[in-house]
Amino acid sequence: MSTPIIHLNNVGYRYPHFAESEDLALSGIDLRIEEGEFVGLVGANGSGKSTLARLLNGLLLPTAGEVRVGGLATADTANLDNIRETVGMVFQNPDSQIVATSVEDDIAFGPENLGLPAHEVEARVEEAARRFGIERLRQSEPHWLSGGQKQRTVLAGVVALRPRVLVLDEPTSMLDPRSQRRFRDFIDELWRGGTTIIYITQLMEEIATAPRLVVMAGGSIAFDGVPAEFFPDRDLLDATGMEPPLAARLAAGLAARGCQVRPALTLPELVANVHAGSQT
Amino acid sequence: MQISNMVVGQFYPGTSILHRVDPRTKIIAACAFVIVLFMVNGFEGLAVMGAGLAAVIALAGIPLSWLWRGLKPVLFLLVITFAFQLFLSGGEELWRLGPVTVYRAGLVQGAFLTARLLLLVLSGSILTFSTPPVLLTDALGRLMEPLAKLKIPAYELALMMTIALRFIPTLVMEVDRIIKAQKARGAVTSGGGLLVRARGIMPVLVPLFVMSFRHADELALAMESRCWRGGRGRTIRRKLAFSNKDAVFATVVLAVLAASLWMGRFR
Ligand SMILES: Nc1ncnc2c1ncn2[C@@H]1O[C@H](COP(=O)(O)OP(=O)(O)O)[C@@H](O)[C@H]1O
Ligand SMILES: [Mg+2]
Repeated sequence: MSTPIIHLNNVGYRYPHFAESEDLALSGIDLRIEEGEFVGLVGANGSGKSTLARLLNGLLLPTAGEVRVGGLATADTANLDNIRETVGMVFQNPDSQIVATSVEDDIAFGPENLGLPAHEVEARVEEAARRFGIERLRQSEPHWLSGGQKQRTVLAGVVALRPRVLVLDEPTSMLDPRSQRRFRDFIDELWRGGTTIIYITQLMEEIATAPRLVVMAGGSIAFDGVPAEFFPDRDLLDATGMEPPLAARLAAGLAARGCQVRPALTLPELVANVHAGSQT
Repeated sequence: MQISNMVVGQFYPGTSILHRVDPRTKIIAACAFVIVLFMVNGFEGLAVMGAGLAAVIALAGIPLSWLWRGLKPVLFLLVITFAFQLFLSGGEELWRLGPVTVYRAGLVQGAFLTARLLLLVLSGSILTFSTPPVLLTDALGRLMEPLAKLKIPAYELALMMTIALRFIPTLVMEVDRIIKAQKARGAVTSGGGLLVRARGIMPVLVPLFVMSFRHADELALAMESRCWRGGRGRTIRRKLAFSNKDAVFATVVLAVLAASLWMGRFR
């Protein structure tokens, strides 16, 4: 079997300030993610999603077990440069992730850190700006941008490093609905291009179509499978404090009232199912 | 007043000669200007410097409305400076208004210090009005390069300045938001006496500090994730180059500064 791009082996994490407390932020995490996968990661507040994300590129080092990225352990500081290049991170608040005073300088920040030749940096800035529809904002100062434009700038800055894995920690939670969808579409596009995606969100709509869903509860993995198996399971939903996407709740509600509607996870799916039901 | 309009030193895009002079030349010129400003001690010298500055403003094509916007936040400081000196006692009496006496020396001193402060603010503003922040920090970094030999982290200092420039507008906008939120809860943040206003500052400062720390924390994570390893070995993307324009500009600035010093000597 090939080496998974991300491999967590019985990983635990305890925040240092709470060393004397028994509370672990994470415990007993086993997770294998193959290159090219799309993994939706959900869970209630405080269930450990962000902590897990920060373990994936060595921002935090596991206090138990081992995290490997492309076979390299994050605990070995000699690997960190390599790991940071492999795993890109997008966080929640775009305002705290933009370093530079112009869009293009911010996109260039990562490639400049690598010490690439100036023309190569320029080429990557150009490509990333075009790819995420911000080429006309290249000279703009960040504080004039909308939330969606800021978060796309952040994404461009991370993608300019050409990471093989992209970890996104609630990247759309500060965006308006239309920007959310646009951002999510860009992530799908990156995934189809071969980037491994780990997508953390509170919006079930954003991961309803994900091929793989991991659900966290109390610092452990409570579910690892496909969304269609998770959302109909009332006990599992209650145990993890999750709610199905709106379309699933609608489909269930309609079925309970005696309508001929098969379960659905997304709105288009629901519309198709309702339509099919009304035809019979 | 809309606080987000107060953003100090906003870049004013343009293609004037001043915009095209190397930012390093502008920074050195501004520093020299400020030094001479504090050496000159007569109105004649200040007048020459003011005239020079006015010429540069005209050259840069910066509209007066933009200038005014940049000055508004420091207006208060200028008034305070003037008022403070005005009531200095001693010397020839000019007017007496009830318990308040204005002396000639105080008036002259007040006018002089206020004019000096105004020129100081203006010279700094013109630098930031005519230079995009990215070039400003690039140039600062380049100018400080010799410091690296003295084991001073010049590159990191320049990056700190970039980050400060980057976050000032964001924080100003956040202050705006906090004030609105506090107002919605019935807080008094403007109007009222000095005491009332001072008390109104605390509920704004505390959330601002919390927000700044959160920004700093997350920014550090984002920078580390984007392979920041310190200034060593980073790509230098923009090449800065001196040209004829710099020589002309520097000569003119030197001439103005020399003239104002000269005026000061023969007072
Ligand atoms: N910097 C920190 N210091 C101490 N405890 C923390 C810190 N960050 C998170 N925690 C704790 O770790 C647990 C997991 O938090 P987190 O990973 O942020 O969860 P999520 O992202 O799922 O909301 C929570 O109990 C939280 O209180
Ligand atoms: Mg979180």
